[in-house]
Amino acid sequence: MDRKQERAFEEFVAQSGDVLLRLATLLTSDRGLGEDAYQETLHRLAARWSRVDNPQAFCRRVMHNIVIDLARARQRRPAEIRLVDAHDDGDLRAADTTAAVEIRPVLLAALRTLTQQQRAILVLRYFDDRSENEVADLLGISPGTVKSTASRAMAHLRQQPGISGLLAVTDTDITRKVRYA
Amino acid sequence: MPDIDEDIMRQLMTRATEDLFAPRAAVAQAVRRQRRHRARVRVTAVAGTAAAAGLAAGVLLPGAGGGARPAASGGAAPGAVSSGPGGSGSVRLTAAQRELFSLSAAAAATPRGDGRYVVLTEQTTSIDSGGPSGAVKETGPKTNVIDTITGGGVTYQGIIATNGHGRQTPPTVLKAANGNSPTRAELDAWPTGTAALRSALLTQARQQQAQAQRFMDQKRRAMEKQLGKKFKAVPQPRISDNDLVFEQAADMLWQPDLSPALRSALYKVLAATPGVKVEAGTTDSSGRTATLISRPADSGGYTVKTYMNPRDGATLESAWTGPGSTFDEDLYLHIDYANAIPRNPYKG
Repeated sequence: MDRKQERAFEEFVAQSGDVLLRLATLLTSDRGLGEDAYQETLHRLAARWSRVDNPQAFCRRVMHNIVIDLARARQRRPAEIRLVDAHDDGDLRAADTTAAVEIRPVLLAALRTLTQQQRAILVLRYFDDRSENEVADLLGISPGTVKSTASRAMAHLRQQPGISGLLAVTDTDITRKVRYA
Repeated sequence: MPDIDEDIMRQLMTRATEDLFAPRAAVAQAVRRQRRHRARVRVTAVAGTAAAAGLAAGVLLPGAGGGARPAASGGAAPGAVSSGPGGSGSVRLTAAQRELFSLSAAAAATPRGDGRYVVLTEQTTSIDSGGPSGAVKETGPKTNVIDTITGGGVTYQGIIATNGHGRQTPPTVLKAANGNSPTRAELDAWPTGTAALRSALLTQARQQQAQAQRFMDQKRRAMEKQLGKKFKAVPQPRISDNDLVFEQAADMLWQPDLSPALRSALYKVLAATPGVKVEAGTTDSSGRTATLISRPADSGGYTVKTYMNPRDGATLESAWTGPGSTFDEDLYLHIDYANAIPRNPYKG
């Protein structure tokens, strides 16, 4: 990367960084791991910046792989007991932190019950608003698999006590708030 | 009404993360690391070629290249580690291999301690990144007492856990069940030939993977039964043989109670594993002279680092580092042997 490329890279991250961090948080279903995955995605993008045609697609592919690696690294560490519960505070820069802080633990806990592929498909399909074909291309699977996995994963989520509560109760509330936002 | 659910899922995902802002420092760090990386690439490319050449050369002998110490005993003499095409009889050791053989010789010359119990005092830092202000950090001394006959033992903790909201004291005494640690007899059953040990380490790693797969399958079947639906099996990630061998060998070197022959052989296995980086004459985080052995996993994502004592080949410190952070760091303060279980040093 020369100076000019560095500036272009910084500009890309300034524009897309927040969305990438949110993607990483959903994909890992964990705030701390999400930050790790986000950081590593930037490192890999920086390393190949001059050769990447589509940085958005590159980041999503790479992030998916990183999340799998992180999960594996975690799984293979010696078992440990969490001694203190981690607290998840909202960021005061957001307009409405209470909603995020209330929804987040429930949503992330529900997402954690899915497989990595199911989670990646739901997040790319709904949060990232990608079409079935785009998701299939990003994850290297067939569009049919995307469709069937998404509907299976949704069916599974509906069985989760926490999330089904959210789906039922906050339905109108959420729709209304978003429309006014 | 699948459409409504999908729309709500879209909203939930958006709302649940709308207060997350990317840290500014991450960009600058990525750029800086990239600059450093570019500066390093040329050096490692040359070193990598040399390592490959060293392995392909076939017969590796101790003492070649000037730096390695003479093998301390017959059992420690590094034999033929690998043979490949082009083994023309020329002897070439890379700098990394020389250091590993030197550690191997040092380990072979250091007798095992005397006593039934191994008393390990270590300093632990483990960071559990649970959230931005909630990252839990555990630091403090810990004394593990391992019974080398039963594999059981006891751990005394002087650890303090902190997060963004304050500190807590975890339980000070933990009992380990028999068989939690390998017994001396189990450790002594491992082969000490380089090729045999490598394949035994690989077998053990594959068994652990198969066990993880069975566990996942069990969980999946239980879920299918509960929900009356079929789920696709998630295949276990593919990990290269060299990744597995390095991790198993590094893990085993962490065991305090290895026989000199086994510790010595483990270093020879590392010398025959491509991609192992060795840095002699460095220091661990408490300032002791150490040889750093590390190897970034072929699949990326994390690096296992261990600091070795160049005088006896024992582990001083080990760390798991992953993207942007260190997961765990364990620092051995000292290793002693005893014939009775010592009292809790952190009590009172």
